[in-house]
Amino acid sequence: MVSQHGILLAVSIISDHFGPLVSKVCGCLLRHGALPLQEIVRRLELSPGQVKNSLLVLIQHNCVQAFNSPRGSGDKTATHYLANFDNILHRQRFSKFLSVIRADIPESEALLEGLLQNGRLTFDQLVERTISKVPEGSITPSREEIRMNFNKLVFAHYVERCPKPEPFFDPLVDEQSTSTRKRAKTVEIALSIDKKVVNTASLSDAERFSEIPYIMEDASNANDSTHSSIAGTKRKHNALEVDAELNSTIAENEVLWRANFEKFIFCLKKKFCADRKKPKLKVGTHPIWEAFFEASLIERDNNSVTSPINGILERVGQKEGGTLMTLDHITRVLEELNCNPSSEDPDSFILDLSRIVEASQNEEIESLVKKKYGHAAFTIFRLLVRDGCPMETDKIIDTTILDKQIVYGTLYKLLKDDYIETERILSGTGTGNLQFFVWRVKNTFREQFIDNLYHAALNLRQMVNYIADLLLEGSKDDTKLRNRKNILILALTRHDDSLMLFNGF
Amino acid sequence: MASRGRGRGRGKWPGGGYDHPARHTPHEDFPEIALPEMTCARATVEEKAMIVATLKFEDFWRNSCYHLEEDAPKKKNDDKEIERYSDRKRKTQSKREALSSYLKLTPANFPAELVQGSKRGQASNKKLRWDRGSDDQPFEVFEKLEEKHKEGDKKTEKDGDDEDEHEEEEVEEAESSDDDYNQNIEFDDDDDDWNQEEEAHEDYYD
Repeated sequence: MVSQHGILLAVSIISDHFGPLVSKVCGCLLRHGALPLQEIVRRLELSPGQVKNSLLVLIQHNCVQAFNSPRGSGDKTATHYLANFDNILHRQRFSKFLSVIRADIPESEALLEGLLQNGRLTFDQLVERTISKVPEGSITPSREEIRMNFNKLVFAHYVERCPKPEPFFDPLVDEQSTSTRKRAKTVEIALSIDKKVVNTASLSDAERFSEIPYIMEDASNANDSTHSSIAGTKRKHNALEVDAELNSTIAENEVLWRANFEKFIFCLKKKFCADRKKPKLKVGTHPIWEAFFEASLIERDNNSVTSPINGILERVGQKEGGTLMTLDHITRVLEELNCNPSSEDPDSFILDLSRIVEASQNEEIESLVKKKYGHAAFTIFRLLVRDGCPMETDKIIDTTILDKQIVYGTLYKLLKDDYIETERILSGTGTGNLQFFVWRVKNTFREQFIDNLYHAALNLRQMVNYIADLLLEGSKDDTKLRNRKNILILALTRHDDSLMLFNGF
Repeated sequence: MASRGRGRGRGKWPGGGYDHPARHTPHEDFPEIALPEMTCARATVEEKAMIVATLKFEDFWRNSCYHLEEDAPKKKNDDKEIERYSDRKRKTQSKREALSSYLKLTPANFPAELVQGSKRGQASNKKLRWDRGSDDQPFEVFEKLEEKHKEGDKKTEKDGDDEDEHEEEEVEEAESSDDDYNQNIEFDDDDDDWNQEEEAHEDYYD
């Protein structure tokens, strides 16, 4: 389930991009889960036409996934619509996705921009768009050139074929298998249903990233090559050609393509982890750390980076001081940096990013606690986080070697703001009724923290919109207002890094 | 009347309780506040490019066919009625293209119930806009350019070397447009009238 401010933020993004009508429909789905069309119409009291158009826009931009689900008893099914919260939030990071492509495959940046702007397009539409944007006097790129640049994106998994528009999914079938667990948390099931729908709709990897085939357009060439063959094989060859041509036509005219957000988020995750650890690296290890990331291959999952040793060596050699490093030295440094040899391929090294992500999350929260409540609070909070189990007040005082009054005051502040919780334990042993308190970190403190992050992002967006309105009205301080707006957008861009971090990327 | 310390002798109140009656003040969405000094790092070249890209995206969607209006569809022919100011205003606003021009409305792409009865395949010879062109309002462009020149002299001194060196790499589009995304991203760090006084650091997420 998405938190309150998360929903408000998502609705604000959709409202800015697609208007209030679409945002109402989106908000309804985010708050109530997957709903059929009639239910949305009923709840929002809008016309079916308005709701349909809104859903079309949301599906086009990958913010909603439809699925067919049984309704009531019998064979009846109904189409349900499920909002995709992550994809909605990704919309404020499109500029970051573009910068990833700019660094990796700059010649394909314009194609990606088209897909991000329009959500989903066929290859034909992309070609039409590319040609229409060519400035007068410039050379128009050939269709072949565009196809080549496009296939580069597909090969690198930056772009994928769109998922099925209306797959069949029966949530009850899955629930039965988990009914043996008596205390099934509804929150967990709700989360997994969302993910299950998305997985059901996804195509297989082979299909998702199947490039647009290149067909020889010159028919005479094909005929020449079959001159010497027997009549039967010639016919078969022609049939194959027709099939291939058909596939190519379908891939160009009919298949809808979209940006693969997973891949972009993973690239940003790698960059974040690489940059995060840099300040803590020992002198002389920077080139090896950088080379490791530069040499990474297509990843198998979204949690680790794999690089072959040859690639790493090659890149280290290109860096300053790299040529003097021996293989032994490099291998040792890599292991110190938690890049371990892969079990599948001893010549490759794997780095698990989730540890860096988790450590960064803790650092962020601790840093905030330190700024807001002081160093004492930071010490206590860190102690409770690291320890994990409830701790008695006296033990906290002894371990942190802080003054009793300071500890009491700090614990109270943290309690008030819902970072920690307490339990009163009565000890009836002996003569007196002893009571003491135990303290522990609230297990929902991360969710609260994320909710606060969403709230901050929402506030920033509202501020930007407010200034945009002022600019529209026109004022003498146009330049100053624009500067303020840019500062706020910069703040939002940087703040979004924290949002990504706390969503685990 | 004996006041209880805080009161200012307001006289006899029957409840004998409160000293500060509720005052209705108008709600301010964005009250002016003094913000802390901006000590965080300046925008890098990459970040400036990201801001330009963000503004371009937002501008595109706002003017695209995907941004649905909440208004009721067009009124019937009302020649006899007096033309209202709002009608005139609506006419000058640029028309949005049809959603069906860009969406491939087939059951292979969208749920069947959403594409039933929709017009399939718009006249394919209709040229689509794809991106709102920069040639719509040339005069405003000139005005903006003039303004930029005036400010430009002041700004280039402050913003310094890094911007000059990377100017060519940074500029994505040579075409001038009246929209936000084409203005120079300059941060008026030194002349920020938000920072009136020095204050203790506010919390911010690192």
